[in-house]
Amino acid sequence: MTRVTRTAVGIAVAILLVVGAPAAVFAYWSAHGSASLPAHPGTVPGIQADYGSTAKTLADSEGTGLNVPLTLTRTDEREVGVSLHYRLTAPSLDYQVWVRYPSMVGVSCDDHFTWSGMPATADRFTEGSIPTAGMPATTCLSFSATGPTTNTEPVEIQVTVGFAGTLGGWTSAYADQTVTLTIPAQASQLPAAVCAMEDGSMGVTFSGESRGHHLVDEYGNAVGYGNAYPPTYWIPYGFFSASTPSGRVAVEIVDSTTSTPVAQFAVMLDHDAGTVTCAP
Amino acid sequence: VTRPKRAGRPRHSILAAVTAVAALLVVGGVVASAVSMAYWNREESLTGLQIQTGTAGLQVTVHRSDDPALLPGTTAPLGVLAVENTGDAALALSAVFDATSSSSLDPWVGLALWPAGTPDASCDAQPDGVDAIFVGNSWHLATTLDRGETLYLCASATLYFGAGQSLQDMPSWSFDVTVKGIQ
Repeated sequence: MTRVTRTAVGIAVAILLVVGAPAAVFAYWSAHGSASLPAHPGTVPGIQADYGSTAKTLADSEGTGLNVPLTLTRTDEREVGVSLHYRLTAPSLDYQVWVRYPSMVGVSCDDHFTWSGMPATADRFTEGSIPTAGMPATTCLSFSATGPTTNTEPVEIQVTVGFAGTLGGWTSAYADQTVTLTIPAQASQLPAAVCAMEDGSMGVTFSGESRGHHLVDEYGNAVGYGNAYPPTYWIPYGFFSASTPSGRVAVEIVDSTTSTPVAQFAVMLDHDAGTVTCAP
Repeated sequence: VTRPKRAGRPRHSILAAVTAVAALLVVGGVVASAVSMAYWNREESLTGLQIQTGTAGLQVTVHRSDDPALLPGTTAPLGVLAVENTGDAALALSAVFDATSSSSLDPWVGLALWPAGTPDASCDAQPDGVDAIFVGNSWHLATTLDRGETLYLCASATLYFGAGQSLQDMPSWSFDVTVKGIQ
């Protein structure tokens, strides 16, 4: 070991003694331990809806709204918001259903409130939400449909409606119900008309929508005209007169655009009794 | 010219011998005087005796796990931690909220920690002055734990509004706490 090496070692030992000794004297003792505590996401309370019957019949195929009062019930006592979704299954894309709901839960169908509505088509999924201040509560949905007016058979449209609870952006599972909306057959309802004689004229009033049609007699001659609301057709004075023999007169309702007969009924004249009746 | 060698013992050997003899005389005198004034005594020795440094030890276990279901905007007890001083010195305690099981939880979860009082404390009510903290922050427990003593700590968690929908889809969460003791 050279003199230089011995000097360096000496200096290092001196530094260690000077620095290390006080550190050792003042050093703290410490210890630590760890643990892990579990938790898990809670389940957002769900919403159940009571529709009464889920089979609903629209008044006609023109889109007259159908109000469906219902009661929403949360599945526990926690206050939650309400989210609504619906999905439409229709026989064809020609049919559209509008589902409307009030901007607030807690109002009845009779109350005046602003409707929020979105069209639901066969391939469309729409979601909305209804805030609520307390549950259970009543609310109301309204369905209306548009589609071809020449359906001769009732048309069923399935609307799946589901409500869910929402809390802080979290959503419960949707409690889905399927509501079956039935659009009555337009043409088949026409024969169930009411006929009446007024001063030699005959009026025919139908339930259902029949805009854009006219009446022809059995020879194809136009015999009347119609109004859309209410769908009333009048066979004018003079068409049936005292010289018209009693009996059956065939009358057709013809689509004005396509000239296609959509319904046919008979007018029964009875001079002796002074009556006129309609018959399928 | 070479100097002729002197016959007989060298001079420095003679000096060393004289010094040694003098030293023996001094030691002998001292010992002799001590013996003359010595008390009666007896000495015994033990073998195997060791002197060791003490240790600082802290053991943290989950005394009770409540595994609560948390919804946005709710606070619920997580359970009770048992902190035992297993070392040789009293320790001043502090704790750190280390981590959650998912970093996406971190901004939305606050943890509170406070002395439970009893091991079976419900931990339902968070005491006044105890605030929930986020991951990475510490609690100052202001408690000293003596050696051999056990402290029970209540823990509760708050899930704040705004927690994303993705957190709802996680099957479970966990929250890691480290308790530190310093002498």
